[in-house]
Amino acid sequence: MCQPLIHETLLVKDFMGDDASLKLDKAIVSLNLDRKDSFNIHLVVNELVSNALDHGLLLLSSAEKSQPSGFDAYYRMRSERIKQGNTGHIEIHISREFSAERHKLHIHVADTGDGFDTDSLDAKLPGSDCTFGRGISIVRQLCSSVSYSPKGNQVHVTYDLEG
Amino acid sequence: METQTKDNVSTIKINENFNFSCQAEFRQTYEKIPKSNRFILDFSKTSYIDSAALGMLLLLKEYAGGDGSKIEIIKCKPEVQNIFQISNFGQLFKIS
Repeated sequence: MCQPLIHETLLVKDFMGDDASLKLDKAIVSLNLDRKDSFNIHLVVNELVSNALDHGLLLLSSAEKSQPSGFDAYYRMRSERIKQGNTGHIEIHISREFSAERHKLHIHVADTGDGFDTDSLDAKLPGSDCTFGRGISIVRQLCSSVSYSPKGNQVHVTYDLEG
Repeated sequence: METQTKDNVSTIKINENFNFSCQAEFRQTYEKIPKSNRFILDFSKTSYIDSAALGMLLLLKEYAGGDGSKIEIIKCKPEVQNIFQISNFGQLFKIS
């Protein structure tokens, strides 16, 4: 049995201030998870949404972040592009699956961008001292499954609840 | 971010929400500290981090001399410590 819990739509302009993160925080609090699950879901959802925004809609490249000045440049470019009136949006769906053993959360994040070549992901998994590309590897560690749509603009992950 | 230096040991008190939005603040904070100091990062206030925070810590390590750097991460909440652990940060930083 699967129960839909959250459906949020975030516009690019919601990321100008705190609107997007406040909406997500509120939605995650409403799930009433225990502390560890809540922390992990917060992290997973934020990483997936950041990837959708930064790479799917704003077309930023994380490789910029390999040096300190690049980190600054990346986030400066990000806030400039957010202000440029991009009409894209991001949809977030979260549902809960009840099962005899372990309850699971299904998280689906879709953006209106052009997607990316998902075959390139495996080759790009970062080393432990790499300063970028860590978001998706954390998501893979925390979730029991991660899959992209063929086009790459939608991702579906399953998280096994502990509490 | 609040810092305290005594006998070449500098303690930085990390924000409650240590994510990409703190990157400039964090860098400006550690760049005021001599590279050769011992760095102690106090995570007692921190209840949330993101993947950018990990990148920011690695940039501090580079600043402080890479493999020869002396950086210690202390007082992490278990959820935060778990993220360091799954990211193999135990090999790169002293975490206690």
